[in-house]
Amino acid sequence: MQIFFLALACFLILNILAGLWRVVQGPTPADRMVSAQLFGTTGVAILLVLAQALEAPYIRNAALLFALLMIMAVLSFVRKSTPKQGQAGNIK
Amino acid sequence: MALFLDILVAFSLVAIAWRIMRAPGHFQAVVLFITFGLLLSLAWARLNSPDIALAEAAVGAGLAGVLLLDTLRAVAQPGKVKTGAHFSWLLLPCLLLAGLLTLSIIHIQPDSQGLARAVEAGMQTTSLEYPVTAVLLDFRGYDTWLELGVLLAAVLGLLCVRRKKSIRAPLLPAPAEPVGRWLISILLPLILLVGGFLLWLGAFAPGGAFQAGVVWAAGGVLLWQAGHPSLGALPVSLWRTGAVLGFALFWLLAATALIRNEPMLTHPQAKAWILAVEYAAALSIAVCLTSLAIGGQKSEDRNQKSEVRDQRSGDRCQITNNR
Amino acid sequence: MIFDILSILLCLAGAFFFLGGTVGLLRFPDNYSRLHALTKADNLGLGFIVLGLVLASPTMPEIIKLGLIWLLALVGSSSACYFIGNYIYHTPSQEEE
Repeated sequence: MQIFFLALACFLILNILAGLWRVVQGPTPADRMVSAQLFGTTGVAILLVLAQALEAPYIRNAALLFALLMIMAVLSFVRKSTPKQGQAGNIK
Repeated sequence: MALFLDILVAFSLVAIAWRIMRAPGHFQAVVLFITFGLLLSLAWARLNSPDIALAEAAVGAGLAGVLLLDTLRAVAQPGKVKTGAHFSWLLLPCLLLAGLLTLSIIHIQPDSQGLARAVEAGMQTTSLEYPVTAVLLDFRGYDTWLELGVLLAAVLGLLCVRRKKSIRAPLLPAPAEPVGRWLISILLPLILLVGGFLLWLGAFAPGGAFQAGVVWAAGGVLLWQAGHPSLGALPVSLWRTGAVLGFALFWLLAATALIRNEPMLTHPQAKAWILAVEYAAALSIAVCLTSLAIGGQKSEDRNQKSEVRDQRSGDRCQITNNR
Repeated sequence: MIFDILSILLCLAGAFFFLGGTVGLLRFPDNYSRLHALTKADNLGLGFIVLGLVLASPTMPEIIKLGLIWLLALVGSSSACYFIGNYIYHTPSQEEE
């Protein structure tokens, strides 16, 4: 059982590594942000699986924190890109 | 299988770190850094140190991404950068440092307990049950004290650089964004709850003041990001008291010990006192980190921003009208 | 024993959806469809893995915490999807930074 969970964690990490290709390729910032969001969810799954495999229940709290706070970067990203300096000038 | 997992995590960490340095665009590097934080948290979890995994999770997910993305916006020219061109002279010092570190790792005895035995011996003299918290707040209290001092100094420095009297930065106008409001109403109570849970957990299990403070700070930043006006409505004096409280309590502790002719920072061995210091430290960390995250915003482009926002909401209205 | 087998099957289903999400992220042609791939992995992948872990984990508080984590991930990913989709829709030129 433990070996199965460790293998599952490895598989999920390999998923993240494969998804990094999208971060590197882009082409737009939105694509990269989407990948980061997917990695966050995958990371939550990996932490939960690791907590089970290593029998360390406190790792679940780290997963809880990721699930709770992953949205912050997206909020910042959306806020970041709204005002473009040039566009703001045009509006005036 | 465990060995394979370790190799995989270590390889990905090094590969991502390399790619961050060589990334052609800033934004790509930021996203890679967020991913790096995630994998780092995994590595700490695998190394059986849940405290650091928790701290890394909170900082990496809650604050680092926000800070980096905001910095990216503040940088004037986010164009392409030439990487690696200017820093080739650093190669030799880096190799030297890596060699020294490797040497020091080789010299650690494989069955070495580190300081675990000393801490175990000291656990009888303290009233806390969890060794990590006991080290942070009791045995080496001055580390935590100075850490709080560093945070406070950073906030003061920010005030000087930005030439502001108040820590609280330009508050964005509240958006007419239903999803954002819904998100606050769900996430904010949970963030407060989880922060309190970690703080409470710190007395006997992995968790503690720093993790709780970071989670609360993320809550503050969330409020600000969603344009909620409540942070601006707090009286400034309350905000200042919160920022100084942890540092001040430690200072009081040191001063009373000095008066009573005891070694500095000797605790009266009561659990309530230590927990009070820890809770005050968590509050101060939260307030300081929130101020650092939102106080660094440029206030000049505030008007522009609100204009753009108005314009955009106007667009949206038009679209709905047309439909 | 039966719980172990069920747990493994559910985790494998979750892993399949994560694989699907990653393949979608890599292969889908535009932003919107990649968002779609993301939400499938969030909802179903994490959901199945949480279910599998619930069957494997013993105590009630842990089961509640696992459920809470899944619900939080749902809230986070769905609103992140909305925010990013909104951003793509309202940004006329997808500039290469």
